[in-house]
Amino acid sequence: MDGSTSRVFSQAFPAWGHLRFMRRRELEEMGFVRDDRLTIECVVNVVLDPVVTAGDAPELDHPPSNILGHLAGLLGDKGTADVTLVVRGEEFAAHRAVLAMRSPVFKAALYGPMKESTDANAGRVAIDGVEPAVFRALLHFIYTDTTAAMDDLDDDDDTAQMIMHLLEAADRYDVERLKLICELMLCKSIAVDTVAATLAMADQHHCQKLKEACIEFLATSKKMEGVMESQGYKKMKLSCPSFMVDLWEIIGRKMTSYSVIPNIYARDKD
Amino acid sequence: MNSQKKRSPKIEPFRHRVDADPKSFDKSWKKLEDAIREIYNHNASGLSFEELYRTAYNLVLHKHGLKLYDKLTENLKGHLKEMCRSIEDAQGSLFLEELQRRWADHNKALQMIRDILMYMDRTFITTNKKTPVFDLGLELWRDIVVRAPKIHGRLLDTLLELIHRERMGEMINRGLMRSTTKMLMDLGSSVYHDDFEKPFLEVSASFYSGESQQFIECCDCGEYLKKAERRLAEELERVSQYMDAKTADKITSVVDTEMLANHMQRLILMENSGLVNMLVDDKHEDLSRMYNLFKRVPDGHSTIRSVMASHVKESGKALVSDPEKIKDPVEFVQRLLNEKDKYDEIISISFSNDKAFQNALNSSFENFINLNNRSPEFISLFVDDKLRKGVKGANEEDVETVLDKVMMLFRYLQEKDVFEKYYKQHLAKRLLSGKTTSDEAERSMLVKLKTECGYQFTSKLEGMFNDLKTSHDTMQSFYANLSGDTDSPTISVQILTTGSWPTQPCTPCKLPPEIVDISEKFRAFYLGTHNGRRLTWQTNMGNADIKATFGGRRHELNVSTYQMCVLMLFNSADGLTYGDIEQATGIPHADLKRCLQSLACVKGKNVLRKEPMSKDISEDDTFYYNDKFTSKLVKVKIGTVVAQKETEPEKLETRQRVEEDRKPQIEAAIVRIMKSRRVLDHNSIITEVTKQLQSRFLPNPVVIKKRIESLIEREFLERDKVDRKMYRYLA
Repeated sequence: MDGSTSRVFSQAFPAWGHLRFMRRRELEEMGFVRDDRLTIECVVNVVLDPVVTAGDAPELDHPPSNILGHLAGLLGDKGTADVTLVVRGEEFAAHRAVLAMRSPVFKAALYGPMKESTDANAGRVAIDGVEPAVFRALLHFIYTDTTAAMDDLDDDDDTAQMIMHLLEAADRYDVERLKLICELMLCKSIAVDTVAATLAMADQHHCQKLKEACIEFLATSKKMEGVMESQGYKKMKLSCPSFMVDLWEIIGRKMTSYSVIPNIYARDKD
Repeated sequence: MNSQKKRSPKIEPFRHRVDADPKSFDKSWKKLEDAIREIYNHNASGLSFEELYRTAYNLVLHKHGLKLYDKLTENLKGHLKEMCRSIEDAQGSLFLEELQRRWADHNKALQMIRDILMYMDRTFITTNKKTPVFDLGLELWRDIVVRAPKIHGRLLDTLLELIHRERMGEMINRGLMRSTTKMLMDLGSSVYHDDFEKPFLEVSASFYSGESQQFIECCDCGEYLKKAERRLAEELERVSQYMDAKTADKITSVVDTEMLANHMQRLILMENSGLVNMLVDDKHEDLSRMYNLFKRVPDGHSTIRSVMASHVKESGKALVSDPEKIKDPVEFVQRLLNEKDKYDEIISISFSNDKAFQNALNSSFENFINLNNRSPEFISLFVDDKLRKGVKGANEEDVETVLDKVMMLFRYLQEKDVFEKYYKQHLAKRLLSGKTTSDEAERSMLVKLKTECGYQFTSKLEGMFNDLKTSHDTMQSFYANLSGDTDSPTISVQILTTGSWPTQPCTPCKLPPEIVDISEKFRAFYLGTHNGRRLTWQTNMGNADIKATFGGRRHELNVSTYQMCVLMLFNSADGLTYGDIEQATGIPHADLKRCLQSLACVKGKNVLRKEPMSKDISEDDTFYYNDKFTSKLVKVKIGTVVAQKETEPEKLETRQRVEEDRKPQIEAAIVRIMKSRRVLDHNSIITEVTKQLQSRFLPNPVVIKKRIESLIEREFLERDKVDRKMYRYLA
């Protein structure tokens, strides 16, 4: 037997001991038994869980995220740019990875097997069918996730136009969040003279919410005459008559539930 | 800051797109068509993605989505038909390669086309619920190329042919196989399944059916299993290399069925090499293989188990019934232990300690051990032998191991009460003759029996140990009290409590006067301290040391009590007849004969001379003191001719006693049961009694019936008036 051994009790080893009983003869021979008594002394150390008290440690605030700021800083940074987008003569420096990250269309263009991904044209890519101002706003959104650039325009009409163009660009380049934001902004500013054009655009670019908002507007407002007077409406009648039929059907259904005077049908006999 | 406002160039008012030019569709489509052609010709790098994307985008915007989609479909079909031709034209082994090449081309092209037409995919296709461009491309490939009449069959045949060649040992192009099966998987899991997997499994089934038939004709069991194991491993490797992982289970189940399940009986029972031979020859590796392979097959393990169990029963039966083998009980039990060890090893090594197999083994052992009704006696004799002589070259732990193994055999016994009787007898002999090597081992054995059977089993046995201890103390105080008289012989008395010891009734013989004196002193001493007790000398046990001189040499003879009485007579006479001796000692006939035989007829121990010099003792013999007796040793031990094994009449007697003892136990069980159940039918009583007593013995239903009737007579129970099969407890 050991004189002193220390053992640790834990979940894995909850008990210690010897497998077999000791022979009485052996024990007596060892001399540990005195007066017919055997004394066993154990020292037990109990380890308690450490107690954590709130100390005087200085408070550390979790620093807020600043990645957006850094990303915004990249906008227009010619030093790190690796592609130049040419929009009707105007040049925009940009980063392939950032564009690809925000738009699947840019990704396919810039990392695909076709011309744009090589450095054949000194890294210049021509963009057609978009206005530079609109493209600038698009880039701004891509890098900052905000539409702040548009505050520069103070003309309401201009703003509305800009938003429409921007929606189109967002749809084309599949920047979904931008598209939805434009939709919402347009929803808020539906007016009698713009509703027709807005509705046509919503249909063309698959903006479900905007479409519904316009129809709602048409169905509930008592200004159908004003609408039909508008330029936009006349243009629409020319360009997509089939859409007009669909439109009136939808409105008709809505109207019966809103009970607006159906003499509009009589007037639309062109 | 309004004054300095940045007047960006005025943006054009938003104009709704109108498609004025009817030919614009055709123009745009032409652009796309040309681009697709270039793509299929590996000339994509010269194309402008932006331009093509915009073209498609505009088309969709102007509501030409459907037209575009249809044109695309037609265009793809055209390209695929071209590819089809070039694949069909490929000769021989180039077929698969060409197919792969074209497939890779098509995939790459599809990706580019999908990217260009991304806008259409996102808008038109979702709203009109058409198949997306990429999936469309895959479907067309499947329908036009893979399932083309000239390609479809050829593709499958080529794949199966290659697999067959590989099975026969050839090296094939695995990379090509992999990309081909991957192509099928990419086309859809139903394509992979219908166009490849299903026929593959069918062909494999017939292949293995044939091969297994071939093997089983020419191989023995072990070889066949090795081959089957190899084929299984091969198939798994094949699947991992160039098939869908899900095929693994399917193909292994085919191999299992064809190679193993269909031939299971024949393999296991094969002459000279089947399971039984493997067991007999301890072929651990083969057994392991068999166990692992038949795990995969329904009823595989249960078949192995039952064949093993019946083999063990058969060989065990042969062992316990062989008259040669049962001549030596110790040898008999040792063989049983060896057999158990052998099978334990097999189960541990080859059958991975499978409990079901262990159980089958146990029930087989239980079955054949009890076929020989002397098993309990022999096991007790084995333990007796070990405790007398010790285990050869063993330390404490080894003795423990041996005893533990014996306990395993003990558990198999159905008639444990028979064992108890014999153990008591043997223990008594050991204790009284002082022939046990290790007190520790005795105690250990007792503890084991107590653990196994409970306190009742061992209480009397413990009593025996206590008696000896008490006797020792009594002797010490006797001699302390005794004064003077150093001339009388020294005695050592062991006082046995009646009932604890298996003693036979014995009328004490006439002791020599020298002995009578001291023994009476002892009796007085003992009865002085223990009132109300009765002592009877057991002269059929006991031994004595006598100093004798033969031809000048002094010897010390160690003899039994009876022998002592006989020899002491020759102090006063040189020759005595049988009749004289009988009268003088009063020793019973049979015992006297044996006693004289050991004194006069055993070579080297003949301290008496008999006339006539024959082997047997007859009542006309005369005996003389043999002064010509010599021995190298000073101390000569003259044992009595005694058989360790019971003679026939003794055996019958023991058995009778066992049966007698069982009667009260059965009755006690019946009463216990009836007291709690009050009313019970005959068959239930039998079942319950058997259950209660099974740890000691298996009661005979006929005996139980007799006991019930006896209890009825003694008015413990009564029969129900209406139903003769029901019994009622009478309080």
